[in-house]
Amino acid sequence: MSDTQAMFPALREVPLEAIERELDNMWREHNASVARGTSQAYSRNSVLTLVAFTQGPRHARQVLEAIHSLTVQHPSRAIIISADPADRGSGMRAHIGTYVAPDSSSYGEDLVVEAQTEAVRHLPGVVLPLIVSGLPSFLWWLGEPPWGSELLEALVDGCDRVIVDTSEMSHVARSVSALEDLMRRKKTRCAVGDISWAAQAPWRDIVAQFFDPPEAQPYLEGIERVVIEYAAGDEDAATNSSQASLFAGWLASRLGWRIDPAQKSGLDSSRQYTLRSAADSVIVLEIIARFNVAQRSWWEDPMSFGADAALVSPDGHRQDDVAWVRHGALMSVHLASRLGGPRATFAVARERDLMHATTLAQLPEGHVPSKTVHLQSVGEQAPLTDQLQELGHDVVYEDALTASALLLRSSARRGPA
Amino acid sequence: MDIATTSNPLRAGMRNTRTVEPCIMVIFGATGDLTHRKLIPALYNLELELPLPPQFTVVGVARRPFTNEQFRQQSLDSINTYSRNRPANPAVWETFSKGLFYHQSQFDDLEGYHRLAELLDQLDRERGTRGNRIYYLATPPSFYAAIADNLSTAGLAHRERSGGPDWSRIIIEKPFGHDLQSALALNRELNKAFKEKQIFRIDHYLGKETVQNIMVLRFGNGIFEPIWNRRYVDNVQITVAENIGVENRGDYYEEAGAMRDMVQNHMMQLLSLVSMEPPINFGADSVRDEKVKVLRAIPPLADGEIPLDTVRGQYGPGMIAGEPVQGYCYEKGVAPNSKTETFVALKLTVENWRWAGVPFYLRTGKRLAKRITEVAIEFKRPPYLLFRGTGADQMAPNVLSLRIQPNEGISLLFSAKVPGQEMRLRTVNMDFLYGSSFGVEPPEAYERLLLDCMYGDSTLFTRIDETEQAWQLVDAIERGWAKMPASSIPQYEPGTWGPKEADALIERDGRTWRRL
Repeated sequence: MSDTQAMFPALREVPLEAIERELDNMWREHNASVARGTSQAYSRNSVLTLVAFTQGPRHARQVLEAIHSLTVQHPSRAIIISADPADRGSGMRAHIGTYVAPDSSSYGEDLVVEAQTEAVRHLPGVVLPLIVSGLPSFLWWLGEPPWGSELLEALVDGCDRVIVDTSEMSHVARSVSALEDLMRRKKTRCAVGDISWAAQAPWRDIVAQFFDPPEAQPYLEGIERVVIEYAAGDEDAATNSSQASLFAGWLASRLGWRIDPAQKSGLDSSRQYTLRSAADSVIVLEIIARFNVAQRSWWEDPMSFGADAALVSPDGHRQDDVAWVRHGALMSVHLASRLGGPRATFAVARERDLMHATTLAQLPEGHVPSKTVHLQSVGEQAPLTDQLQELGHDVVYEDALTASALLLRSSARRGPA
Repeated sequence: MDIATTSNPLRAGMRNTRTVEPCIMVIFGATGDLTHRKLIPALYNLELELPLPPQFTVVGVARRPFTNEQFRQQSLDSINTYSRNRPANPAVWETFSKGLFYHQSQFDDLEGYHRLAELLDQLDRERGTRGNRIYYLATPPSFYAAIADNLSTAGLAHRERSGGPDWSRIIIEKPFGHDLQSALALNRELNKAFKEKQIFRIDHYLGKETVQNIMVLRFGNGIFEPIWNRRYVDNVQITVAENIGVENRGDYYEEAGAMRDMVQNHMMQLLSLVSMEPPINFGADSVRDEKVKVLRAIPPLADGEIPLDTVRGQYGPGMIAGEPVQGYCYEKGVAPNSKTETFVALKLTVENWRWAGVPFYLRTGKRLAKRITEVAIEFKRPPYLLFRGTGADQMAPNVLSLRIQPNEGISLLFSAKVPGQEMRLRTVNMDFLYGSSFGVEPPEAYERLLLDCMYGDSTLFTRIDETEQAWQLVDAIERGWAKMPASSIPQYEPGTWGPKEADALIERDGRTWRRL
């Protein structure tokens, strides 16, 4: 097995069967040091259990640091599963520790369970008993889950909510479809969440705000064209349109648009769909890749840790000189609507700094001031935080996911998205 | 007043399902401290985190000859100094600042209001604010009536303009009068221009997360409400203690005293939230109906009860944290022979089915031992002491304390067995700290209250009948005090918990103040 102890110097290895007892001991030791006056008093409060499935100790360490950044808001028991697919064998080890957020009295518990390939299938029996009773439990699966596997099914059944990130999946159409299938099958036991959905919350807020004034609302029924741009890297590299598809799915499901999967044309990276409004008028939807935008996966790049405003940095400031976004991040949304007269347009586009977006709305009725919003600050501090605050089913997301899967299914027939 | 809910289908499922309509917030007293420290930072935080609609506009009104640019610079300084999201984000500030304007006027100059009306009409056309107005009176209360009158005369206080959709609201800060008569007189003046549903009386205590949580604790949990009554509760203690003196507010404090400054508003709010019956829903009037009902159940103290059930005091010179501090009478703006109270302790009763026989002890003061605001529910002891000779008879009663500030949270005192062969009991404290479970910095009270006013939601604002009822209770005590000799205002040592007479007030009932 890999040298987990070196990766997690603050943790100590304990026998698998003694995890709970050792955690209690650590708490008692801490209380004793408080009583001696050598330590500050903390509260052992928990609001949730977070089980994170990672592909090995390097990712596990990064995830643990990410969870620590959330501890101040979500003191939790974090159970990080480190399952390196290259680590052959049948061993399993546990390491535990505690974490106190800086300038806070929040006290979190860290558990890292390292499993070699042959032991992975036994993980549910180790992990599920460690979930704190009576509190919400979350399963955060980093990367592509093994759809349909016994392991995934068992862990999902043991948690209240499963969180994935479709923007980190290589086969978007297949993954979104599998996620939608999981959502339907597990509806009564477990809710499904997507970090991509949370990451685009500011965009939904901004677009919804266009239609808050009563004079603007009728234009929702007159939408005739939607153009959604998403970030892509080099033109010959794979693109990830999950965020754009999800955004389109949100519009379609909220506004009652009908999606005919056959009505699709264009390249895989830039596609055009023909949809029908509730009044049966035609809506042209374009999902377009904007190439050569710097993208990163925060958990694949240790140096990016803390710099990814979209996930872990609550203040949203970059810590390096290069502006970048999450894979497939939304770059612009443009809606055109007509109610018999002149056309109204509603647009929001990411600024060159990639951290802000500016709105532009033009209505026949009059001028609407444009505004610039800080994308990471709108709504929630971070997409993962947002997901951890959601306890039940997010019906709006689930509708959007269903619509998005429908859109992507048409792409699936014609090759990878 | 209807709360701005939305028919926008894109809002479904969003955290902010309520929407802020485009509007102009006109701040009277725009160059003053409240605007500088609280209002502009609060509006910026809302813009950054919500955000506000792009049409949202602020017009600052004050006497100083500022330009728009000077007002914007002052606002930027406010944000950079006082916002919890400081410094200002340049890109967000760039568009937010374009919605900030300044209008110079005397508050009593009608011509200035006509010019203001022209400016607001122009901004409606240019920024799409649709005639919606919020007037924030961040001025001394002596200007409230004149401003409301001039707004009305200049046609700016439209009640519901010819059936149109536009609205206007006015926000005023406490104190709402200095006694019942003046409160009623002020309200009559305001009502000439605005209907009650347009008037938002701000008591920033109600914007505090932990104050709102009193209702959540009581009505969002199943375990507390069944024991929240005379059968289980022995007494309730409400403490609002400050360790600072009157600072630079001597002039104001001379008029107000602790009774008008704290008891009439903040403490009555806490008392009503703790003792009210469950509202039928969380609507503004449902909640406030219950608050008023319980205030009505508190009988004003009769003259004969006042010497027994009230104590006032005034801090003298002394030391705080090793530093000498001057007595109240030596503070700036305070008369050398002032008889204004800086400390009040009260015993009130709530005469209804739920609380009959349960005393509510209130105490507030300046230059006390520490800064703390707490509501403590002290429960009755077990009917029979099973564990005699184990220390059980020395045990503190069960106390559920709701700490409003600092260290916001809830704690429960209960007895537990000391580990060992013998049966020994000890009181232990089960503590819940907001900072531990929800470490995120809560929004400022003003952010919540300004936003609620934009929504048209007056749940967390004080209705006139609440104010009246609180004044009736306070006036009765003030009248009683006026008949008592000045010697009945004892001095207390700074850094203590007030005069010893306050201890006597509660000890007469066989109880003691909680040691905080």
